[in-house]
Amino acid sequence: MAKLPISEELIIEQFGPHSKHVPPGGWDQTDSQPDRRVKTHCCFCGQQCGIILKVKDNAIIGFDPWEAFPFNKGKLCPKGVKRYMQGSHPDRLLHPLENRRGKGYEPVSWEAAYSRVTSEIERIQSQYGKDSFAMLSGVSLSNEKSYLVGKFARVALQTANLDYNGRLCMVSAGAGNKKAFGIDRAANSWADILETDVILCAGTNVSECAPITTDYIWKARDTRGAKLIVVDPRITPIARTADLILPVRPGTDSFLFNTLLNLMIQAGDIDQAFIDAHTVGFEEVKKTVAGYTVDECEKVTGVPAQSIKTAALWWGKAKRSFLLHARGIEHHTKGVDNVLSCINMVLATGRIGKVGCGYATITGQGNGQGGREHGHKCDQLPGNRDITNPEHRQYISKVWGIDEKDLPGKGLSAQEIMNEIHAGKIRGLLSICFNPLVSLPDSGFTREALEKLEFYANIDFFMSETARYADVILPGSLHEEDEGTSTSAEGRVIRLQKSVNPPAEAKVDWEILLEIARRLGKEKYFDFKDSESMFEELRVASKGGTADYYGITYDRIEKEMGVFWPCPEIGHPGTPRLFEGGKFYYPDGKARFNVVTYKPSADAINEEYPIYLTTGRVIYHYLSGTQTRRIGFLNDQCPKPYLEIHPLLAEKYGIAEGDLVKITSRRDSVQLKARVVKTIRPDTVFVPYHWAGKQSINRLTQRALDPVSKIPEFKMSAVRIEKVVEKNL
Amino acid sequence: MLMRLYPAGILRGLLGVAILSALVVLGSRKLIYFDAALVPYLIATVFAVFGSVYRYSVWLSRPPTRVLWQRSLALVFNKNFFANTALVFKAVFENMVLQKFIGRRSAYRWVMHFLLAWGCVMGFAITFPLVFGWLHFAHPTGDAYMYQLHVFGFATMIFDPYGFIGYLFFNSLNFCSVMIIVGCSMAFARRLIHPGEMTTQTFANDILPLLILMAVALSGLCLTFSTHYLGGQHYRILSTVHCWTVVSFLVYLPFGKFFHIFQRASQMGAQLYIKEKQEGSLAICPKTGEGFTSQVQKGDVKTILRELGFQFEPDDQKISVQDLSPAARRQLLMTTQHQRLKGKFDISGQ
Amino acid sequence: MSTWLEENDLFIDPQRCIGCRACEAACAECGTHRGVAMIHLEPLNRPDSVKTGPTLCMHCDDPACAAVCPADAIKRTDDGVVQSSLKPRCIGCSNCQIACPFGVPKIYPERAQMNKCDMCYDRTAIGLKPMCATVCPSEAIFFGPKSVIESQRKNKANNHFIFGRQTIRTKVHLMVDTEQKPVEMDIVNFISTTIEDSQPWVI
Repeated sequence: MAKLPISEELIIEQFGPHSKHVPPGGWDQTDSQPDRRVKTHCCFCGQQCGIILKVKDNAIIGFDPWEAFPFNKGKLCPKGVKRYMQGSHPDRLLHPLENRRGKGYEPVSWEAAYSRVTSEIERIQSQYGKDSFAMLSGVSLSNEKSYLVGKFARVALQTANLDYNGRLCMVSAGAGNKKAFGIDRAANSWADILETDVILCAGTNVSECAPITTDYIWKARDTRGAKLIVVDPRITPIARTADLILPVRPGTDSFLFNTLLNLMIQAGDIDQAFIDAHTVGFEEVKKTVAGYTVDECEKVTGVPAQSIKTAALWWGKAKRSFLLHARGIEHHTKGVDNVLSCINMVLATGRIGKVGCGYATITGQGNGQGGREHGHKCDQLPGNRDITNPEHRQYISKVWGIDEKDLPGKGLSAQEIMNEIHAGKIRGLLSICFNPLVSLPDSGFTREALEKLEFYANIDFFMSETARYADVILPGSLHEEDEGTSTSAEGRVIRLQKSVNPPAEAKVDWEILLEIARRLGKEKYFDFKDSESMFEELRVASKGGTADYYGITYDRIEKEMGVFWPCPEIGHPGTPRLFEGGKFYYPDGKARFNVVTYKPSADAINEEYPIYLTTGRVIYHYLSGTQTRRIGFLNDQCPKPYLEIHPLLAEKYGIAEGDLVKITSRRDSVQLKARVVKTIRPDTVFVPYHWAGKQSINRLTQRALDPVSKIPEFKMSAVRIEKVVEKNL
Repeated sequence: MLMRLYPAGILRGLLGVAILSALVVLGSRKLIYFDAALVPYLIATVFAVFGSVYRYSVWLSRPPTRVLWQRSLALVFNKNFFANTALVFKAVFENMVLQKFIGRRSAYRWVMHFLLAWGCVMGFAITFPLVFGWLHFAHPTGDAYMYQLHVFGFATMIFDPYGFIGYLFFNSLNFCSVMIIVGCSMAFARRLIHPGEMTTQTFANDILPLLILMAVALSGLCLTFSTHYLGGQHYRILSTVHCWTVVSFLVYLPFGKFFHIFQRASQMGAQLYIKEKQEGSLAICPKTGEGFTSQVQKGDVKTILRELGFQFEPDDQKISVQDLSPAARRQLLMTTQHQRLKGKFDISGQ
Repeated sequence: MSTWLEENDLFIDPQRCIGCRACEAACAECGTHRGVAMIHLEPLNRPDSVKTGPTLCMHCDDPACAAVCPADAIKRTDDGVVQSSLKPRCIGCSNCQIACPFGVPKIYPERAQMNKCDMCYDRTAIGLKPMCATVCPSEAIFFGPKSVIESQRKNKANNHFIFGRQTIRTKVHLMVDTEQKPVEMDIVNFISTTIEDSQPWVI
C-alpha cells in the first residue's frame, strides 16, 4: 500500500530537500581544471539554453557559457548558472529502495526491486484488467525517453492510461494550435521576434519563466522601435517596462481578445485578402466578436477602456507583429478558447508565416515541445499522431511490430488518472519524472489518491514528495547522466550530451524501462542498445506525421546547432518558420478561425470567496522544485511560498508586510506570509506553486479541467483571506 | 623609473641604521663577539633596515595612511585607554600571531601562510641576534662539554649541547626551513594551477619571493646536511650560497611583497574603526535611514578625499555622495538613469 | 595593437534588468573569487516597484577607492581595470566603501578584506567577456565595442558622471538618453524621489 513508511520529518532528514551550496571539491579548489568540457543544454525550461558543463572525475564541477550556441549565445538565467549543482548532491538516490512501514526506505538489490515491480504489475493487471495499471511520465525527459515511455506503456504495460506532466503545461496551446493550424508547434523561431514591430505577451512572465526571451524582445524594441504590450494581472519585470500593460482580471482573457478583434474589424485593420485566401470560418467569428464592446470589456477584465483601444490600434495598424502566450491564458477551464481567441487575432491580420510576423506559445517544461510529440500523451502516438486515427494506429503498429488490435486506445489524462486512482478504479501506478503531489491541483485529493494505490513504483533521481508514497523507488538519471535529444520552445531539436555516469547503483532511465519490459516478456520490441538507436526508430515512427523528424540525425544536430522540425528528408534544411505562403497543415492548406464565447471560470467569485487567486512560477524554481529546492543559491533566494497582495486589499483586511495570512478556497486553506506590493491587481492575490506540504498553494486550486485539453484551472481560484493573529505573543 | 626622493624618509632610514649599528656595537661588546664571516649578512641587514624605514616613512606620508595612524592613536588614547589597548593586543594576537582572518579567507591559505610567516619570523628571531653578535655560545669556565648562552655579552643559561635544549637550539633553524619549504610548496601548487591566481600573479611580486624563500630554506638545510652527513663536505660553498640567498631576501624585503609584513600593522587601525562604528555615533543615510559607518570614519575619508583634490561636495557644501549609504548610492545610479530616460523605457518609441 | 580590454567596454542598462540574479550567481563562479559574488543586484524600491538593477565596479579613471586606501591595496591596471584589493595588503578598513561614489566595494570584516568587481580579470585576460555580461539574459550588462552597443540600442553610452563639483570618468558606461551631456547625480533630488510602478487597472 502506498503510504508514508515514517514521518515526513524523518524522510526529509534522510532524503531532503537539503540545500547544496558548494560544488564538488569545494569553492577554493586549488585544482579546478576540468578533465572535459561538455557542450549540452540547461534542463530548466523550454528554451533549452546551450551550456558547457565542466567535468572532473565523474562529477560536474562548474559551468562555462556556451557563446556559440545560437539561441542564447552564452546567456543563462540563475537556474542555468547553478544547474550543475544538482549533481553530486547529498540527496541523490543511489540504490533501489523499498518502502517498509515503520522502518523507512530500505535499500534493496535491483533484482529484488525489478521482480517486485513486475510481479505487482502482473498481479494488478491480471486481477483488474490491463488499464488498471497506469503510468505517469514527464517532459523533463529527452525525446528518446519520451518515445520509449509511450511505447513501453502501450506495448509492455499494454495500458491505455499513460499521461504526463505536460498536461499541466502545454496542452491548451497544443490543442488550440492543432484546431487552428493543424499542427502543434511555435509558428516561428525566435529570430522573427527580432524583426517585428508589435509584440504582445499574453499571460507570459517572460522575465521569470523564459528570461532569455527578454533580450529578443528588447532587441526588437531598440533596433526597430517595436512596441511591447503585456497582458498580465501582475506587473512582472517585463510588464514594468512595457509600452502598454493590459492588467486583466484572472480568467477574463478571451473577453479581452474578442474585444480587441472586434475593434480591429471595426477599424478595418484586418487583412481580408489573407482571410479569404488562407482561412476558413472568419464570418462566424466576426459575428460573435461583434458583441464584445470596449465598455463591457473594461467592466469584465478590469482593463481601462483607453488601454484596450490603444492595444487594438497598435496591433491593428502594425506591419509586423508577434504574439507570445503561455500558462497565464492556458491554465483555465477555457484554456483552449483563450488560445484560439489569440490565434483569431493573428489570423485576422494575416501576420503569420512571414518575416517578423509570428505566433508562439512559450513552452515551460524542458522538453515540453518534443516530449508531447512523441507519444507519452494519452491521446497521441509518435510524430504528433492521433491514437484514435486508424491510419496512424496502423502505421505505428507496423513500426513497433505489433498487431494494431493490441495497441491500446485513448487513455485518461493526468488529472483523470488521479481521479480514477482516488475512485479505486486504477490500482497500480508507475511514474517517472512527475511530482503530482506538488503540481496537480487540490493536493489533499492527490494525497488521498496516492494512499489508495495497491502498488506504486517511482523512477526518480531525488525523493520527490510524491516518491515518498511509492512502494518501490528506482534511482534513475539526471539530465546530464544520459544523452539524447530534446526539442526547444522554438521547435529546434537539440542534442543533450552525457556528461557523467549515474552515481552508485543509479541507472540511466531507459535501462530501467528496458529491463522491466524484458521481465514482462516484451524484450523483442525493445531492442535498443543506446539513445541513438531509439532516436533512429523515433525518426521512422515520426515520418509522415506532422512532427516529422525523419531528416534529423544526431550528426546533423551537432553540426547545425539544432534542426527545426518538420524535417522530412535528410537533405531538408528544417523549418524555422511555419506557414510560409499561408500554407497551413489542414488538408485544404487553410487555417481555421474558431468561435470563442467568453465563459466565466469554474470557481465563482462571490461574497464568501471574493478574491481572485492566481498562481505561477518564480525565476529561481522549476516546476515542482524537486531539483531547484535542492540547489542552495536558488533556494536561498526564494525558500518559501508567499502571498503577493496589493496594499489596498491588504489594508481592507488589516494585513501588513510579513503578516501571516490564511487563504481559504472551496477546497482547503493554507497560511502564508504576506508581501504587500503595488505590483498586482488590488482584487487579485498571487502565490508561487513550487512547494509541497502545508504551504502548498495547490491545496487550494481546483481539479476543474478544460473540456478539450484537460488542463486544470490553476490560474484562477476564488478565495477569501484573513489575517492570522499569531498567538503566544 | 625615477622616484622623487623623500628627505624625511632618508633621515629616518639613516636614524634606523644608526640605532641598529649602536645596538650591534653594544650587543657584541664592541664587536668582540661579532663573527667576521657574517659581514655580508650585516651589510644586507643594514640595507634592509634603511630601505624598510625609508619606505615605511614614504608610505606613512600618504594621506590615507597618515590619517589612519593619526586616527588610530587618537582612538586608543582616549578615556577608554585601557580597553582600547586591550583591543589592540587582542587584535595583534588574533591577526598577527594567529592570522585568523586568513583562515576565514581560505583554510588552505591559512596553513600555507602560517607556515611561511612563522617559519620566517622564528628564523630571523634566531639569526639576527646571532649575526649582530647579540647572542653567542661559549663553554662555561672550566667545562669543555657544557655550553653557555651569552645575551648581549651577559652569560646566561648553561645547557647540555646533546640534551633536549641543545637539540632545540641547534636545530631550530632546520625546523624553520622545513616550515618554509612546506609553505612554499603549498603556495607554488596554488600558483601553478589556480586559474584565478594564474591570471593575476606577477613574477616580481608573487613568484620571486617564493623562489627566494625556497632558496634560503633549502640552502640552509643543505648546510645541516653537510655538517651531519657529509662530514662538512662542500660546507664552504654551501654557506656562500646560503649567504647570498639571505642577502637577496634582505635586499628584496623593503621593495617587494615582504613589505606587507610591516604594512599589516595598520590592520589595528581597521579594528579601531570597527569598534568606533559599534560604539561611536553613526553616520545616518538620509535616503535609507541606515547607519552605514561611524561619523569619525566618514569624516576621515572626506578629509582624505579633499586633501587629494576630489571635489565631491557641491558648491553649497551641504551634502555629498559620501553622506549616502553605499546601498543608496547604488539606487542613485538606477534612479538617475530612470530620470534621464524620463521614466520611459523606450524613449524613441514615444 | 590594442588589447581586448581597450577594444571593449562594459555597459550597464538597469532599465532592462529583470532582477534574476544570474549575474550574481555567475559572478561567484569566476576563477579569481569562486564562491563570492562581487556584483550587487538589488531591488530599487520593492514594495512599490519590481525595478531592480545591477551594480558592478564602474572602473574609474581616477578611483576614489584607491586614493583613500591606507594600505595601498587597490591598483588600476594599464588597460583601465581597477582591481579588487590585493590580498596581502587589504586590512578591511572600509575606507574604499565609504569613498566610492557608486557604492561598489563589499567589505568582509571577518576576513579583513574588501572584494569588488575586477571585470573578471581571469576571463578578460584571455579574450572572454566578463561572466555577468556573458550570462545576463536581458543584456542589462553588456560587454563589447561601444560602436556595437550603440548600433543596437536607441540609447547612448555615457561614462561622464558628475557628483557635486567632481567629474568621474569610468570604463563602464551607463546607457542613457542621446543628449551628450554628462550624467549629473543629483543627490538632493534623489533623496526626495520615490519611483513607483504605474497602477494601470480598473477595479
